[in-house]
Amino acid sequence: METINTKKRPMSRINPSVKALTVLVLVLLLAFQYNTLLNLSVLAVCLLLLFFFSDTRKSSVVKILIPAAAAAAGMFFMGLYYARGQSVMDQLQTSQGAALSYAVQTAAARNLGSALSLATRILAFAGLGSFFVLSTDPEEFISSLIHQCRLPVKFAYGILAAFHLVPGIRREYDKIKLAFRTRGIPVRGLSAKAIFAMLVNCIRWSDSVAMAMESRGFSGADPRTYYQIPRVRWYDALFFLVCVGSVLGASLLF
Amino acid sequence: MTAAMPLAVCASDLVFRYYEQGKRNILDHAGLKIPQGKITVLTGSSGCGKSTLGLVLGGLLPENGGVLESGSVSLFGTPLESLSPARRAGLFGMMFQNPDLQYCMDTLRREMLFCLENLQIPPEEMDERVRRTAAFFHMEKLLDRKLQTLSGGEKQKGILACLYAMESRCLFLDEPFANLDPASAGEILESLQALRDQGRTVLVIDHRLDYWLDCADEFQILGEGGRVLAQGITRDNLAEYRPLFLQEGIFYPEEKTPDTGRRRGVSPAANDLRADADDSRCAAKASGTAADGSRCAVKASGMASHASERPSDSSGAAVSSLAVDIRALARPGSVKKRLFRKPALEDGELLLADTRVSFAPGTITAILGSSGSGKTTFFLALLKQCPFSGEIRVEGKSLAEYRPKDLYAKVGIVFQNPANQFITQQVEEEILTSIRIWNPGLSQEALKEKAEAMLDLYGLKRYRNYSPYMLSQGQQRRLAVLSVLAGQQRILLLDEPTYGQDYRSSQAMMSQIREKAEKEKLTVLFTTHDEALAGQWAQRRLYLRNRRFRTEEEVHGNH
Repeated sequence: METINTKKRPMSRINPSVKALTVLVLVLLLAFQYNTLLNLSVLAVCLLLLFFFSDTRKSSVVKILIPAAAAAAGMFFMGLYYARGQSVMDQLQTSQGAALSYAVQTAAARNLGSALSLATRILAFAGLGSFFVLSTDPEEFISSLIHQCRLPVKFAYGILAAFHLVPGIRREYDKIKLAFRTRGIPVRGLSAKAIFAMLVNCIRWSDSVAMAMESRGFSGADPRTYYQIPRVRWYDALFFLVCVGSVLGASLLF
Repeated sequence: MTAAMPLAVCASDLVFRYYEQGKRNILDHAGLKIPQGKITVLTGSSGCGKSTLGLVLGGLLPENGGVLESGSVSLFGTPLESLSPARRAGLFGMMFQNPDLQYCMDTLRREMLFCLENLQIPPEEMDERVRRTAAFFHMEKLLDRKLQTLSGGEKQKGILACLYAMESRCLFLDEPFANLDPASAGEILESLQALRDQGRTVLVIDHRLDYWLDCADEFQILGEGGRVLAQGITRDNLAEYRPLFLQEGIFYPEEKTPDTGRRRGVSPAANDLRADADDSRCAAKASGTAADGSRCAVKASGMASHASERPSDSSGAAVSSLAVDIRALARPGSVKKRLFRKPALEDGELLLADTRVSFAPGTITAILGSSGSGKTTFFLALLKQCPFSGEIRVEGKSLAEYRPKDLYAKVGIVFQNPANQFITQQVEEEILTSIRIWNPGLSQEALKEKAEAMLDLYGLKRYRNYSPYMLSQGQQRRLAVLSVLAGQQRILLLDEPTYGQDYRSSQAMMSQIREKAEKEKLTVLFTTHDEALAGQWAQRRLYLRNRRFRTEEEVHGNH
């Protein structure tokens, strides 16, 4: 049988459902601890895996990480000034004169640790998220959800079809805005009228796609065969155990 | 005549409407018999219920909306209601008008597999079927390419390939050549003939028969309510049915010789023929045989005289309202965006390069060219929606100096997809909005009167309270053109204005455009794949080929 994914790099070959579960468990594990070093190592491992063991383009990783870095920076400064129930501002008000700069410094120093761990946690989450999204083919993920997680077929293919329409929606919105403008109706930014017109079009699209799918024999209820059934193999289990095990171990050690 | 022949599709007494409370039945006691192993083409005026009929035959309606009051359909002798979607697909494979709204997966191979899975084909047979299909359509290279990188024609052919892979016994195609250039259409036609020779049945809906003359076995004409007015029409006895074509306002196909496109429109014979066509239609109307009076009345504004007055060459006109001097115009998306720097157009896929052309007020110019050659992108550039290098001057002022608002007061556009055009939820409001913007002082009654007069002229008056989205494809396009004509822009860009129109509507639309253009000295540019239409209505034809606008002489001289 010719397989669709013959030339894939290791990270793209892991069963998507197992991968999703792993990422989810790791996120939960990280969420309950303040461990800067662990957060940073998770991020580093994610990036390593993405860069060297998957087909991802580096630019798309960077594109995800830039907003994540901004969020992390915001988190950092918030943690620095407002952590542990007492803000630096309160300290400023209670202390006086020469004691002032010293008070700020101690408060900031105490908060620095937690601020760092909060900020790096955001980065670690972003790393995990981009690792999953960029190394997984949506179609394989859906197919794996059908077989491993018993997602109803009707939803699964509905989601896929909708997913493929998304880029079109953006183009559609631009066209509609242009149509308004050329008809002499000014549109600025997000316009309710234009969005409404776009939504009407989207509904019509979804109708046509649904009818086209039905005309090709698709129905949510009837049995169907599958060209490839994604399975959970030994290396998928190993991946899960190694990832969760090492994060657990690291959080105990550090 | 089909008594001896086994039937692929047999429908009788279909009564269907979209809304429970609706007064108008889209299908009104419609019946249909399609023989096996033939190519049968259904034609009819736009809005007569052709597409609806197809959807009912395929079992997609009333399942997805609407009420089927009576009637029965059987496919290859089996009643439709006893068939599951998978069995239906095996008997009646459908291909629709819009290639972008028919795919569920992201590559052709995956889409084919999806279809085969639905039909419960054993997985080990799938590869062989996909391979065979790809070989039949010569599409091996396209199998694993992302669909968004394929052209419209390739996507349509891909759908046909899916139907082939599913081994559907009857293939149903609804306006398959919408937005395809003649070359892609030709390829699909060839495949269809090969399929017919293998014993498959092909059922087609099309407004125009020219493509089908050589390969179809039978034509049937549908009238109001989806009822068959005539069947058993073949290429040989087509002439007998000419009056019916004219009465229904459908394109009467003319024999194509290689240079008809060039001659038509200037040769006196062609003018006579058109005038004759008009006369007979008027006669039909006068004698009360025309189905209903609300259809577009063609203004018989002396078409023949217009044609003879036409200047032989207007490209050297002294005053130009639109002067284009483009050094480079690239396909949108093919140019890499760069941070902080102007994108280098030359790196992208160039659609236009070093081309210079100007358009004079009061003239209509047709722009022809294969799909994907950049006609639409050129229009977008004129609207400042697409970066280009060079200069475009609108009424003497460079495009760069225009603020968008002032530009759009001068240039109006009708998009290829009319659904992009609508800004209100009601047909009448759509026209009213335009008129109101351009005539701020007018009273509400005067506005309404004006709007209704315009709608009446385009045969849309009885739909005035409908939502624009409830109109048929052809009617939507008419409304889109009308809503732009209601404005007072000096330059009109029309992207495929007559696609999906029947003969009568096309003629009415174009004659109104011409009248307005001549009276108000407008500059009109329209794109089309239809040489005959271009020859009949445009004073000037430009062919977009190899990144340049070429005149007729350049193009046909090279042949």
